[in-house]
Amino acid sequence: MTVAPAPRGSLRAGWPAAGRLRAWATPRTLVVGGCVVIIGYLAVVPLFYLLHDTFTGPGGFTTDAFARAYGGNTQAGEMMRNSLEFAVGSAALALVVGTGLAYLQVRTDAPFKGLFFAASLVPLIIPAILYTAAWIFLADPDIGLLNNSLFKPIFGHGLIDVFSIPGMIWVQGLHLAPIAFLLMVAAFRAMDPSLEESGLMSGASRVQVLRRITVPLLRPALISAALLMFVQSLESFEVPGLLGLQNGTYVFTSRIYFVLRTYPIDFGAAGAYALGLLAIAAAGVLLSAWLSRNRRAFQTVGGKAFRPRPVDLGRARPWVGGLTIIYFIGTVVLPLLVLVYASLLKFYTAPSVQAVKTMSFDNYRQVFHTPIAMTALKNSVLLGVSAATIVMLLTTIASWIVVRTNAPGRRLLDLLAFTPLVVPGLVLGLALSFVYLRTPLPIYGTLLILLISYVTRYLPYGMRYAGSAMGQLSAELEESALVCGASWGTTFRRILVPLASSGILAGWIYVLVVSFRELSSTILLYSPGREVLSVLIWEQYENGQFTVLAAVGVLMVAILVTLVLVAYRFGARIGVNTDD
Amino acid sequence: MTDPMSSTVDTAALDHPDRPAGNAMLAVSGLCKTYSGEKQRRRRAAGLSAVAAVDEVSFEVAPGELFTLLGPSGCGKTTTLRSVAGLERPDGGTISVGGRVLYDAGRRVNVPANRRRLGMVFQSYAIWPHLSVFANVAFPLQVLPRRERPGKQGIEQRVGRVLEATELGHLADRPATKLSGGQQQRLALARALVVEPKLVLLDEPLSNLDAKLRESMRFELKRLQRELGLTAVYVTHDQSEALAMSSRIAVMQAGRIVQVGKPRDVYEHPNCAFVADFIGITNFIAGTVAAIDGDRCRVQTVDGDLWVAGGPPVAVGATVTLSIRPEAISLRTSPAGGSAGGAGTGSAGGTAPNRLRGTVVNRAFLGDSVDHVVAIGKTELRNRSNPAQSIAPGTEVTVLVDPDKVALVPE
Amino acid sequence: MKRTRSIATGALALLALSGCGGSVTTANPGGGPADNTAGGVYSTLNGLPGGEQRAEALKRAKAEGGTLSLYTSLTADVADAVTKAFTEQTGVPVTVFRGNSETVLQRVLQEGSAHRPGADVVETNFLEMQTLGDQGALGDFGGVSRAGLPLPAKFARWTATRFNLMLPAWNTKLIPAGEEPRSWEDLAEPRFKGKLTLEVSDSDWYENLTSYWLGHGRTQAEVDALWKAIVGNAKVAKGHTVMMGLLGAGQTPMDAMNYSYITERAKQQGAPVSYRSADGIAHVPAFPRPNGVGMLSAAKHPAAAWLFYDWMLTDGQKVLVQQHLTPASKVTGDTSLDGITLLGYDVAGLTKDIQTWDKRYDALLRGVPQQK
Repeated sequence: MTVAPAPRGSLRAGWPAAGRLRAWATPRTLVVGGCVVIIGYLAVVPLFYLLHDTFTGPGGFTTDAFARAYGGNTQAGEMMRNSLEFAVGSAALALVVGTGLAYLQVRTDAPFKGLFFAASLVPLIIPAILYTAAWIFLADPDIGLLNNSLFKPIFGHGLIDVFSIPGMIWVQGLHLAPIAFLLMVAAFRAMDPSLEESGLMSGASRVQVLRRITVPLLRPALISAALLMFVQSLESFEVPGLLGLQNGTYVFTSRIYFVLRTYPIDFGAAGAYALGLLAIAAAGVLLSAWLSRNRRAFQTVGGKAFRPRPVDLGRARPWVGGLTIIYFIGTVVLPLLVLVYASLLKFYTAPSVQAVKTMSFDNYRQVFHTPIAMTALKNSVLLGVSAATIVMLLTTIASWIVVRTNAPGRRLLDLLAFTPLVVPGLVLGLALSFVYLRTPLPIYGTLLILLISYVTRYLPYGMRYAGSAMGQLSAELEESALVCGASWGTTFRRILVPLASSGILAGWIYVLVVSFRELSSTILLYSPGREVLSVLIWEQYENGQFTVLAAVGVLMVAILVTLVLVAYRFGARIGVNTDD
Repeated sequence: MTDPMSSTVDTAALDHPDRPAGNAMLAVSGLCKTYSGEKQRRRRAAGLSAVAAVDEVSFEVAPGELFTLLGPSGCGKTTTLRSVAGLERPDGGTISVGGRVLYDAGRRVNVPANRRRLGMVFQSYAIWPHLSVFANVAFPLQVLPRRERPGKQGIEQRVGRVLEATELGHLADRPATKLSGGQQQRLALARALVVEPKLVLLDEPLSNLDAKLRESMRFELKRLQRELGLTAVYVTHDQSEALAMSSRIAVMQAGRIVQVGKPRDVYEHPNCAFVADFIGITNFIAGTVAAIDGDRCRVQTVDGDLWVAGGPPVAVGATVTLSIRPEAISLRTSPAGGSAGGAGTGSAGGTAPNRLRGTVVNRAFLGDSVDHVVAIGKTELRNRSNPAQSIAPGTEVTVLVDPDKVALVPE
Repeated sequence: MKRTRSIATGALALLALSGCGGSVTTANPGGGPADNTAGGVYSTLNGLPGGEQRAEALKRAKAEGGTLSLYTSLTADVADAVTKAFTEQTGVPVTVFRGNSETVLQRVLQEGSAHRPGADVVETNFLEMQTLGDQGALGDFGGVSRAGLPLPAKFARWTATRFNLMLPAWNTKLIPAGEEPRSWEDLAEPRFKGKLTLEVSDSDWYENLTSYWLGHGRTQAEVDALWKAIVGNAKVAKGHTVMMGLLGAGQTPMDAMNYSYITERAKQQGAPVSYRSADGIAHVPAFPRPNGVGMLSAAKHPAAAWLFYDWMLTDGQKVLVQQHLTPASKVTGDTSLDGITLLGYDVAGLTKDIQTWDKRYDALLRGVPQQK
């Protein structure tokens, strides 16, 4: 569920008995202790204040907030139903698509693997607003390009309507699929391929092998990926906001947002909604933990090294190739094209000769002349790099504790680092503003509060990357360094980190990329002069023009793609090795 | 005596009287496979030169034989086995089992792995951890096409039978993960055998077991194979395993078959230095042919002359390498008979042993034998003796070697 | 990277030791004795004779540091034009924080309660300005420029600079001439079924229109029926600018209510939208929502704030007209009110009861049976 199980380092003698105080003051204990304190603080304090302000009214402890939030005519039941339907649907779609792609990528000799990689990651880079806006232009029942150019000529009327729950599920699912893809690629690579080969040798068809061997064995990975997708959908507010409102579909996040807009802010009600969300997410966690209880039985990572050998697709190869291209076009090319097209217009209109005549780069000019554009870019880069660095630093140490020692309380640490996953972004933003309004330190209103939010949010992802990197190292590597006389710090710095560097770097890049598009907590925490690119986009969406919004989006995608390619060049493999 | 020099090309093996005549169970001909581009680059970078993983490999396996592919890592034995299994696609050649063509590059025939009806035991056993012992073994029966699939009772019977044969009957309901290493190995075997395949493929099945278990499993496997009349292709890098179990061994190096023959033949009459060195331990001595006497020849070495009986025909003056197994060398401490120095005074004809003088330089007690290192002049020979005979270093000894046991290894 | 790490780690370690402050303060955001300076500056400037006020303000603004911080909910392009003109004419550069009106309000209040004022001057929606005034966050303006404005534009602690006119807007390609609504009641007609878009937070329009109908002889039941029909004809969207974008694209034929300046600006860009009939007259009467400017009583640059306030009521009005907004004062060349009938706007009522109306409108949109 959290970090992959791995052979324990044999540093059992490392933790001194409780009585000896001097033994505790080593650099290792200080660093490790500091890391634990920080992670604990980041994970717990916001929740504590959220609870406090939800349950405290003018007269002390009260549960009135829940009545305000869920009672009366708030249609809470319908809201919950919508939220669950949306979350489950998108999680399922993302999982199916992501797993299918991961299987093709890792296990078969499907063509166009480079394209796979790009197709799988680009949706990760595009911010949710833009992705959704692009799909509006593609699949709106009246002006949707797909409806008008494809379906109307063939069927006589538009077929798809993005402003519906299935539409929301489609957009959110596709947007999340890259994350599922990355997770499942890692899972496939960790699975001994001879388990499937023996199925083939026993006479089973490919489908039978998939059904009876591969999927059951992947169950823990599938469950943990499903949980992640579920929580991310629950907390999504761009997709339900843009697509749900139009047909009256309200979810948790739309209600939280509504409550936060009034003055004076009903923090209690907002907190009550947030806690409701948390409760559902926590239930999901428990369910997934229960489903993976037979974890040991599914341990498929053997002691010996092996390389996955690709399944020969044979006759199916051209079909798979075709499907890949269609997928790539549908999920990457089309939305991007729509964005580029929109960014060149003065106001959005269906493609026509006239429209082409009015195309210009005015919107881009406007973006560059927007005073906050440069500030936003600078802030985004600064925040992204800092957050990525801090997250990987903390999680490298934390995963070392969890994976390679038997220190008391390491499971608690694992759980703490995992908790922010379950906290929706809006909720986190809310909680953090509660906390830092009271703190005398100059955090509120600076970039620091955004940094804290990002670090908290991405801790779980960092743990995943750092944890699997640490887990693959054999204990003897550390031990030999110690025997040679190296201190803990030196061993950590010069042996462990360099060896785990590939995984750590992959995590660093991931956090950098997703921090650029983070919106839900940012929107509550930014201040003048501290805008980031996602805020710029949101501002354009709320108060600017679609066309300028599209221009900002195109620029942002270009910047991030460049960043990723550069990092990729430097040998960071984001979970996708080239198989031979 | 028969010509033991089975060469690298399969045609010579066809002349071997031990070759299965007519209906072979498995016939592999001209099998080729090159590494993919990425692997080629890596191998070149690592200083390895071979570009072909499998280079024109041909052999036949008779029904009831246990045929072993033996060689160091990277020699292509596993690739060959997996090509027979259908898990890898070769670049050329043909493969047929029981007369049925499974792969033919020329005629573009390639039967998918799951339709070849072969049994395979993987190196890691590949036991499915989410199924019980029974379910693991029942799986191949459950995925048979509908018309061939036995009913529920039929499956239970057949599975029960196979589990009994592999002594796992009492563990049928246990989760497969709760088995010991040896039991897992037998489970893998049971699963491979339940469909009664014509051919069983085994990919280093014993390498994960500890030494003692390995030894006992060797006998077990061999017994099962004989009792059930199985035809098997066995891949291993452990030469003692190959010698113990095989009907015939094919020694492979760098993608080619270097020698095929019965274990004894391969052991006693290696056709090249590689085989001689790879199988067992041997002593190499270089020399020149000084005289020929019928089917014996006298080879002049830097430390004395040795008579060699048998062996391929050579010309006087040819440089040759001699290979002598440690157990073919015996040592005598009592200065009994025989003049010092000089080659075998033994007259021509007969098999009077070669006699040399030397000094014991080192010895090691191995429990079931004692190894001595004896210096005869410049060369050091390694000898294996009965543990009762333990000679202290520094002692002068007489070294006796039977001319029959000296093998002439071609250059 | 290592240095950043250690610095960051150190900073975070410090953080870990920070205590928790008190509970949420709803303390007076106007601040304490420290802002006597701002209040003092305002009084001084207010006391000067009219002709000297501007020059003195300019002098003091330069002396204080020569910069201004503005929080506003003007759309970005308008805000840019305004601040650019201001800087050109006075030489004082402006840092702008732009957000929607609720965000601006919360930002100012939160900063006030934390005694970390970030803004010098605020320009936003009437509701937020009223709230700020009630909370004592705004300073007193006594410039002569205010005198010239009509009464509806003058409020206790702030002054309206522009009016957003609430009118329906339609896509001229999808709603041919002659079929556009001629009264607010027309929106309830069956011919507009599925063709309207309502904005999710327009509770002030809801209140004004309801009061207008009630005040013109309709019963509560009739009004409820009208609203039910309108909502039945409509789908909901968020953001007036977004709605205008979709309107121009033809995704919806009509916005039940959008601000005329937004429609006008889209029209200038070439979008096929309109809020006036073909004869140049808007037959539907408009509600003018005031937006205005106020100086913070805790401003760090009070003279610059005073200057901006004064400028907005005079030269700034011309800039607004150029941007197709409706100014609060009379400006030559302003055509934004041509053909438009103005109704009253219930500032007082909304300021008092906005929460109730928010909830009622929200419930209305969600299709929940009305309470009360």
